[in-house]
Amino acid sequence: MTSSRHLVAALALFGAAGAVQGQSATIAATATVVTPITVTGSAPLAFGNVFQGVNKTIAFSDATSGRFSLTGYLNSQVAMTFTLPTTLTSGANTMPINTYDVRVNGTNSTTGTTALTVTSGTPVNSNFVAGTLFVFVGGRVQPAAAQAQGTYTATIVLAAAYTGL
Amino acid sequence: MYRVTAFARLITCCCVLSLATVAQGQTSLTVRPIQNLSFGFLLPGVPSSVDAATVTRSGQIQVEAPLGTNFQVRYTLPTVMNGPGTTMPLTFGTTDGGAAPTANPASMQRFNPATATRWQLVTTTRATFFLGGRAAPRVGQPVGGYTAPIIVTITNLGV
Repeated sequence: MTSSRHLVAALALFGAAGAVQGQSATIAATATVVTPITVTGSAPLAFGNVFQGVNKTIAFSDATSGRFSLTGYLNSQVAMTFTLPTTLTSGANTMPINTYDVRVNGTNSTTGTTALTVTSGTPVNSNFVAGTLFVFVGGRVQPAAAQAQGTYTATIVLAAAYTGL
Repeated sequence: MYRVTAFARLITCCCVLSLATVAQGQTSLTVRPIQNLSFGFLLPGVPSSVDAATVTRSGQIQVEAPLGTNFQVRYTLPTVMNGPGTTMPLTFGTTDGGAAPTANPASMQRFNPATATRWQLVTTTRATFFLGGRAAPRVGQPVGGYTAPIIVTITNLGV
């Protein structure tokens, strides 16, 4: 009787020793499906008529400032990269353009904008707080004293991409 | 009767000794979740992959146990992520698993996360397991957040 009790106990212990225990941890796979960003050039930065030797500035809030509109995923961060020309051209002639003043707003209004420190080719971040962004571009041209007559143009490019935040 | 009892006691002692040996081999082991497998922002219709070696995005867990510990790693892998009223396919390739003795995947050894794999802690007391994968949002996939649990089960096989 005593022996069988010991044997059973021993077998039970042996059985327990043979068991291996698993531990688990859980992580998640996550993704956010978003709408593609759209960028639209809404209005050109138009200096109108300028005079030889007289600088002309168009403020971001002027009616002829350059404008872009963007749509994107609500509350997501967007990296905007501007390509800002340094000259306007008219055939072989050029005219300097500089001192850009770039502002951004969640609504299509020049009131309550945020200034962007923009360097051509370097991304600057903003946020699609309400799913839209409006960009206003002012600038200054510097016609030379002997600036040739003509229509001068250049292209301002805005590229936008999600940062993932 | 005495002899039988003594024999039984001897068996008991042997079994207890055996248990003690196994218990010594069954070293303590800790499993910690480190990081989710994060695909970030996806566009409808555009598949996206995360490589196991991508430190900022790969799924990661850490196992800690004494040197020499053997253990088995088994992933329970989901086939879809659940989102706003729908799902998004999720797949794992045969080299989407990786294991390294540090948190740096540069030296990781790749493996198939769909099959149970055995590992031993040889040079350090920790191992980090990395997991990559591929998400395939459909054209017209509803926007929003998607998620799925990935369960990693570690079985301690002892020293």
